[in-house]
Amino acid sequence: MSAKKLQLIIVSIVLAVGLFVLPAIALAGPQIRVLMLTSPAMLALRDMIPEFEKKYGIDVAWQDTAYADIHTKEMHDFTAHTGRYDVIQMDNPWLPEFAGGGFVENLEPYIKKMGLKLTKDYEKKWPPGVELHPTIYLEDELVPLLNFYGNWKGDLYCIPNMPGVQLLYYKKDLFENAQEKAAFKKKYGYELQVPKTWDQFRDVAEFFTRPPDLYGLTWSAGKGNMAVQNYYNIAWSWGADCLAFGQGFPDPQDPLHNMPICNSPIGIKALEFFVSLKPFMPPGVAAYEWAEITTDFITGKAAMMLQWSAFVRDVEDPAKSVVAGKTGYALVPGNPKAPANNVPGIVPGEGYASLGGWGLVMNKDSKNKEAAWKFIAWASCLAMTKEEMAKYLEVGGTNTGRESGYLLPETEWYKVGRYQVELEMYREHIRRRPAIAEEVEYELIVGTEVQKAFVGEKTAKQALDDAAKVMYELMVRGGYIPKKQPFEWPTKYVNPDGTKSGG
Amino acid sequence: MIRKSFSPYRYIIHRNIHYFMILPAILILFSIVIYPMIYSFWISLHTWYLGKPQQFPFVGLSNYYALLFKDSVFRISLRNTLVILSVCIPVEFALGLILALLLNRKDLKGRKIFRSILIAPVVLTPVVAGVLWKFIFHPRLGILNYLLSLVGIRGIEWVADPRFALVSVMMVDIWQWTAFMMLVLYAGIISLPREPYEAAQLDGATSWQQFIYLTMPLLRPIIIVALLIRTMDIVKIFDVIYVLTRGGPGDATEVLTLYNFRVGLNYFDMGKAAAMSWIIAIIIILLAQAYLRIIQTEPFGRGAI
Repeated sequence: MSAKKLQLIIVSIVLAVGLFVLPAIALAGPQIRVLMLTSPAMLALRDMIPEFEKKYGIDVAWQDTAYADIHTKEMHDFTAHTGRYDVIQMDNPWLPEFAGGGFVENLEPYIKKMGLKLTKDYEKKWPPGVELHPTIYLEDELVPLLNFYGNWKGDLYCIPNMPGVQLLYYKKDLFENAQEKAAFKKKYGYELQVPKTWDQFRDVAEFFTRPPDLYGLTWSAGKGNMAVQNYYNIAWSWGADCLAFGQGFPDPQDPLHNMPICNSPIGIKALEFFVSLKPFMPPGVAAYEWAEITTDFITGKAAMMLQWSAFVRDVEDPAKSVVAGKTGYALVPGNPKAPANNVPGIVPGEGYASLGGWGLVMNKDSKNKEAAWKFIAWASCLAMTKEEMAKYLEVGGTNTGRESGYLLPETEWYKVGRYQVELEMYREHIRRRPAIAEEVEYELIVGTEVQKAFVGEKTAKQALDDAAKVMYELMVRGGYIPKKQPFEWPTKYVNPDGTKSGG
Repeated sequence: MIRKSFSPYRYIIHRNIHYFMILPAILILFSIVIYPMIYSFWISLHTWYLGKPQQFPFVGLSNYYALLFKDSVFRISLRNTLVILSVCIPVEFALGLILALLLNRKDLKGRKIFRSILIAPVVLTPVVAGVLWKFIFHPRLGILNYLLSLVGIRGIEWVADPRFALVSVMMVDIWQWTAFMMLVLYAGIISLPREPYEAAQLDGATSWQQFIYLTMPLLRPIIIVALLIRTMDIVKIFDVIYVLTRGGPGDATEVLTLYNFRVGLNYFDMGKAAAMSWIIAIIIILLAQAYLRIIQTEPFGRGAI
């Protein structure tokens, strides 16, 4: 054998070892792949991965991706059954699509194996007002969060790990100013206070509107997502809802129960109210994205803001914000005039906001389910100790569905008053967007029409009538209403005035 | 001596060897272009919702029928696309031509600097241009409203007002792509032959006459190419609108590709999305044919492409 040939053989062997053997050694320990949303909180979690790996001896291959791609990526993995990702982060409205489609694993066996306390209440059913399935309780997880995120037909499929809800942010210095207080009382006949009802809210917004330096409120009617969520944050507390089954699930027995009712008289009144707030907001809000709302508030241009809780990070950052340390947080206002027998099942006078945020699910095609569960339990703080949780919050993580996480007085957001209000919202004041697999389409349909009413292209009635028509077509296309069933008002479930009938 | 026996297979292979040689290219082309096109047409004849991928019912041309006659958003998108086309193309062409002629003047000093500055917008990614203009259009903080306020015009909500949203989008498109028009026309102008101009000058033609009777006809093939590229680009316009308005307020800036993207990749209604793609493709093919026909009737018969 010539020296050259020998050399060639040695090089080939080395290459083969490098290519196949080394990764095989690296893969020998349990390894899981996770797919998360690119966001500050998840990047903080990524930085803590070495601690998880050390604690459990499981390697984590981390991938995060932007909101625009994540749903498509996940659906591709599910429908092709590749099992590429073991743990996946899921936006909460996708539960019917993921769990209903049989793509994700029931987590209960793993929870029981780990020795965590999971109980079900077959008397007090979920969701309130609709009562379909047993309510699930797990350790100190917040019941509404856990059930909205993960309860699919009475089984648990998802653990919340990055919840979000809108809060009312207000400039404390304005509300505490003696001169402002006196002027307000003179004009409106009652004390200036953080608004608890939408009527007070409108008065306060009007009072502080002094363009171009100060506006009463900054919010958004941006196309789709922004318009529809902000509108329903008003409309629910007025007793309106989009579909006749409210915040339950589509009714497979009776298509009438799945009819759109967004153009009910209550819904129209709520939209008129939303539009009536426009003069108290800065110009351009009709096209704002979420971040732009915050820009107005942190530059001190607005007295109040309704915004997702995650934006407290920007508001309390003195480098960016002139209102850092001067901002108060409160519950979203309510409407005491709402009818008692309303479709969404709300308590008149209480405020409601749509539940946002993300949870963790396990891919049914995962080849390493035990390890995947350990990651889910850890990344949702369920299996974290109090110290670990405090540390995670400190490095920029987010509170999960665990109640005790909101009650750590040493954390920064507890000190500014965010966590207490946020916890209160999660306990009693959240509502779910329609639980249909076509939720993204619903947001664009209703969100576009709401925006049209907001910019004055249509009246509130026209806009919602049109939205109802397209929503009916969507429900037919989704198979919730048979083709031969014409669009009609579901009097069996909802009275013509928009209140709930006998059923 | 052993004679090779005559093999008909070998003969056939030998006679058709050229086909075998281009076979790899054809196979690749078939698998990445032709097959997907045929398949997308096949999908467009079905209802296919990706959430329930196992259901694939044949529905004939009803996706096309629904889009053309029943879908108001599609009609608005089509109308908006045509409006952008009919405003932006002439304006970009006129401004581009003027700039190209100015750049070509011999008495212009610092031509290279002007050229570089003018080309800058073309180099920007459209998404970046969109974000940039979002700042410019900001009703309270944007420079555009500040400048307008100096002459007494106040409070235009550029992208949030249905009356101005489409205008805003067109402004961005014109700002970004006029320079492209200029670049192509300028390249054409400097490559024109000098002799006809010298002859015309001897005959006493004014510079206006030279422009009308020499520059324009000689430049014609270049003009057609520039217009054709821009037309295809505008039918495909997406990024700027997605960043600026997401098609809003309402449907004011909804265009074909944006709606197509939404139906396909947000709603996962693949049948309808495939049908829409075919309609867009047909529109582009028709427009391209119209332009090519203009070239063929060109007076000097100098079809350039």
